[in-house]
Amino acid sequence: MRSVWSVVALAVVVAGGCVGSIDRDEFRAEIDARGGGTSTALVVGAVDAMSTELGVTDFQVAKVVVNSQSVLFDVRDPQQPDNVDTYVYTQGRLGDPTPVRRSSSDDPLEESVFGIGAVPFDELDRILAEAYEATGVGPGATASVVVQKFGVFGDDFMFFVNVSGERSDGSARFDSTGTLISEDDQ
Amino acid sequence: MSVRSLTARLVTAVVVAMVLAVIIMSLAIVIYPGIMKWTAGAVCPDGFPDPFVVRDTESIRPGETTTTFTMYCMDEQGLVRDVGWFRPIIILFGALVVVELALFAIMATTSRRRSKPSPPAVAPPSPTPGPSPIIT
Repeated sequence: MRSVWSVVALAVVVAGGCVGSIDRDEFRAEIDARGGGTSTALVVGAVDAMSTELGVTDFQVAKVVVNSQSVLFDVRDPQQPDNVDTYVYTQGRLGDPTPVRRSSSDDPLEESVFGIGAVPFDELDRILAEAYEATGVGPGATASVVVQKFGVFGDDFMFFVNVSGERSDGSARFDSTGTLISEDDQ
Repeated sequence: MSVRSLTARLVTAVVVAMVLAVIIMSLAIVIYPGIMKWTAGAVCPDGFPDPFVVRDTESIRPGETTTTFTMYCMDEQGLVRDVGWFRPIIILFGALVVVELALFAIMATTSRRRSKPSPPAVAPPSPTPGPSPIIT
């Protein structure tokens, strides 16, 4: 009888802390296998939170960066239009604003900003799928998206998608309607 | 049973249930941390149906390691919400206390029924015995 209890105790010690849990690396691999969390759902939640914070539905932004698990906004302050603040949305919550320093050599703010309502974020899942396909990176790749006005490519904002895989990286550009313009394998 | 006696029994039962729940939960978390996933329906936000208990093991100083468990809920595209460990544990603890109290109540009812004296069986009326004959 004593030997049975010894085996049970040994099993508890060996298995203890493991059953039903995974370690951090396995968890990250699972996140990556599902696409890293960069998705329409993430951005829609972030825009809703930002609208609530500012008290307006169509605020202006100078840049939006969508990463795995987080969204960064450079937002023009509706109350003080000369000011731009950075907000980071992660884990379903919006952080406190951080002032953005601007210099006289920067493009005029009026030319850099665009309305968030004009960005087809509801198309983001399709844009990401096209970026994965166009770059040939994945599956298991993760993506980050920058939405900004890039002066060299014209006056309108565009989506710049960076795709990162285990063995290769790539990028793709989409116009303001979410149409693929170009892709680049690295 | 007086109200005071009933209150004392209830308080005792609650205290015993909570102490037992602390012991059982401590053992359960050490042996099977995945038990936290049972609370997914209550702690995971809408759209995040898949629970994960993630293990972080750190070495504080040589020969000494600590392990912490955190529960996350994940959607189909890999977006996660950190729900920590406190809420799952508190929910499990509360559920365990309720189950224990229900068991105590059942046990108390059963034991009272057993200890209550059974009513005397109704015997047929017997004729009054007359004086026994004296045999000489």
